[in-house]
Amino acid sequence: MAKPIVMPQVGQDLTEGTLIEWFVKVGDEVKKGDVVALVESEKASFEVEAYEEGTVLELFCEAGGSATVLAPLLTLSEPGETLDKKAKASGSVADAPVAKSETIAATTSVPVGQKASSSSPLARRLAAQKGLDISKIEGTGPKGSVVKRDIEAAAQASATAPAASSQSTVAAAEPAPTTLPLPTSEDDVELPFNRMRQVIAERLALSKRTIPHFYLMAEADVSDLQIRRKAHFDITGEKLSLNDVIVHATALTLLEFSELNAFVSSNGVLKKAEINIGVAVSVDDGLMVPAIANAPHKNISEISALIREYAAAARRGINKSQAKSTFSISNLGMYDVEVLPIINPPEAGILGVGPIKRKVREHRGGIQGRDIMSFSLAVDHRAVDGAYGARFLQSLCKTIEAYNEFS
Amino acid sequence: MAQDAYDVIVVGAGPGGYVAAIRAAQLGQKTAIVEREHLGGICLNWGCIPTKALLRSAEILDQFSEAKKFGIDAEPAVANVPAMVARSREISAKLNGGVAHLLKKNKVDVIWGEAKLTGGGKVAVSVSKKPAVEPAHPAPRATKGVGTYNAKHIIVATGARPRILKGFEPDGEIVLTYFEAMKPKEAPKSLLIMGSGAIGMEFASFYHALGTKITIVELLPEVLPQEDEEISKVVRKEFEKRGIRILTKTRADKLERKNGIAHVTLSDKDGKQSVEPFEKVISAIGVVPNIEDLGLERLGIDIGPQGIATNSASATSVSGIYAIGDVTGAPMLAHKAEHEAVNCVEAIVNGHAHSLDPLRIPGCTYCQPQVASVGLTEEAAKQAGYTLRVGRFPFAANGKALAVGETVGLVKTIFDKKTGELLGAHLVGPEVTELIQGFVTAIGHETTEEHLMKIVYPHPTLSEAMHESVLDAFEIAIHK
Repeated sequence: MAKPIVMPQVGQDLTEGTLIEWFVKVGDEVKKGDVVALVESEKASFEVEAYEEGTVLELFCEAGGSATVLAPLLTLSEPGETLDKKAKASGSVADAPVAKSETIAATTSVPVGQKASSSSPLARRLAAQKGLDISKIEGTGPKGSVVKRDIEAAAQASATAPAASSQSTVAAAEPAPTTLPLPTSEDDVELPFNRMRQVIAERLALSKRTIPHFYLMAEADVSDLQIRRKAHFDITGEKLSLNDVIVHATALTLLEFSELNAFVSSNGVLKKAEINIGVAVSVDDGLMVPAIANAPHKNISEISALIREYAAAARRGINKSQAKSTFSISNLGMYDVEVLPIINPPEAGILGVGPIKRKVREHRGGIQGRDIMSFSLAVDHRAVDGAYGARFLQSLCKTIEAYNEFS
Repeated sequence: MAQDAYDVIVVGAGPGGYVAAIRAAQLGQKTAIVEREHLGGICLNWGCIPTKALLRSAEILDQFSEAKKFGIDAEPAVANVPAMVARSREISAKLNGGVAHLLKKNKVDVIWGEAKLTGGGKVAVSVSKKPAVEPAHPAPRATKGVGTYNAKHIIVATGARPRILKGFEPDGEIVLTYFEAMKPKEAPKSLLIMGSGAIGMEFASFYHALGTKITIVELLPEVLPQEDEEISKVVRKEFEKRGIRILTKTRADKLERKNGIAHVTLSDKDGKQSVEPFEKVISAIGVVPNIEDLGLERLGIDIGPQGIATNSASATSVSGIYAIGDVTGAPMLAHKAEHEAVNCVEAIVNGHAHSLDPLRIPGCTYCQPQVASVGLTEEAAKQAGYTLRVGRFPFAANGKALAVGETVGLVKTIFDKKTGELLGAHLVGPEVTELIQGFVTAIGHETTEEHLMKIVYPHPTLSEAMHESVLDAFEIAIHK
């Protein structure tokens, strides 16, 4: 039977995305985990991974074309099957549509773009109860489906992991966290932290407890930048996101405001020579912050490519970035909300990126509708005072508005 | 000496062995099977199948006696025991021939004789020393015979035989095992059945229908001791209502043959002894694995307390030698053997096996009323530390059961309160041996109560009682 690989759910409520690039062609052998295509939504790019092995039989979309979410992008044959045999098997008019819709129905229940395999109802319930991400659990049931024993094995593994990690993190010296109260009703659901949540919990509690945050807000008019960005795409075909621009602009601004590119402790500040921009990536049941190393000295295309690569890897649970971030950015603008982020210790600050809104502004002597993007900056007051932070944010907004480093 | 070299040699052609041989052949292995007595093993020659044929005769006889209740005036029905036995043997013969056909069709060589594993992948086959149980079905044609055969993989599937209690050695006349109990010439007037497992309870049902006065002795506190206690109690009550005498916590101590009948000394839980006469005695106190004279010890194959020790892929402690079915121990069920057979062969050929969870193997007993179960009993689930939700639904409240006049029994379902996992299902009543597969599938797919509640059960069927039992576990049964 031919096995389809489907277009992942690329955004919250998006129904289609753009296929940027194929990495395979018909007849190619594909292994589990191979990246077969790059797809993109308005805000971000995603790698599409093969979750089974086989030979590529058919591509359903051309590069540059749009693909409906959860519709097949390509089909693979069973391993060992020849192309001809497969064509016969899947070419039958009668059974092909049925097979397709069946597979799609099966895949929609698991997060697509990750390791897509099925799971038993009991396994799904146990995973929810134990706070485990079932899509990250290797299945040993029929056709690799996740069954009870897999959840139990994963639960055992994650029960031992946080204990080990808490010793190595900064939180070790902190008082023991309060224990979870016992459920009082049978409808209460106990969700112990998995390893990733445990680390998030420890780091952010430490941040909020020990770092005196202050917040600054500003707006940047990105109307002209949007035009330049679009022009760059029209000329070169290279799609660079606003997020790519913000990362680069932040890095460039930090060159000048080096006191914000620092590690802070209760005894002092360590100004870092390298500027590594951490980009917060929302992953299933958690958050990862891969860092773009030496960002001011990279061009925007390099930065864009790295962010795409790191974000896709992060969504598979892998941190591909070797560097340790020195300043981070948290972008929740795609959800149309403002954000006041928490500093990622031991860094001195974090930039929050809000949405772009069409707002009425005075512009060149007239009143115009402009694309206005909002920013917030959280700063560790121990390291830097208000005026310095304000100048940084002001400078950053100007850098973004004037950004024209498209090559 | 010229030797035939095979990929796989299976020793024993019971339901485990012949299935292993066929699967191996399907997967392109050059395969032979060694059998000393009958293709199909105990199961279809002297076990599962012929007893079901006899029980069907008993059931029809019982139905005749109830004809009036269904508005039918009929002459009193009379059992023709030799004809019942003949029918049972015919069905057995048909299946025996069917196995021969299947083996031939799959190009499996049949080697007739007794096998001994002599090491280095060699199987020495000699003339069987065991006298065949009569009437024996004819041996298949075109078999290979005495000689030494070579195989890369040897699968031991030699099954089990009745356990013999000292002092109660079967003689074929007064003390019977299932072999003789399956071919009576006439119904005895009185019968002692030792052991209330599936075999004992099925023979009790059969002989009771023929008019024999039955006494069952069981050492443990309840009949069908492997089943959920609540279910066992229903069966016991039904048996006793029909006039079958059940002595639990009772031991048969001694047997004396006098005047062609047995005088058996029974002692109850307080040690009080009594001597009672019985025309016949059926010893049904379990089975023991056939591990002797196979050369296992000499090869250093580990033998556990229940039989040959194996891993989840049925491999023994010696490379290249595997064991499946009853010879590896409980549960001694044909369907377990068949499952292990396929799993073992696929592991040999494809290199991977799936693990067989014993809690997902159903068990069926075909006495009247029938009993079927899968998973943990209520007691076992409690002991395992689960907090339970238990559902019960009686067939007396099921429309189809009322219509067919079979209202005894219930469907009991046991869930883990915390996760909704179906831990066990225990059924007693009409056709429950057919119904159980619904729950086996559910457990196999790890469904939770939510899914069992949401599927549609056809009306009017006995299966609706399964649905209601699930609903009852969560206190939302409709018809209760």
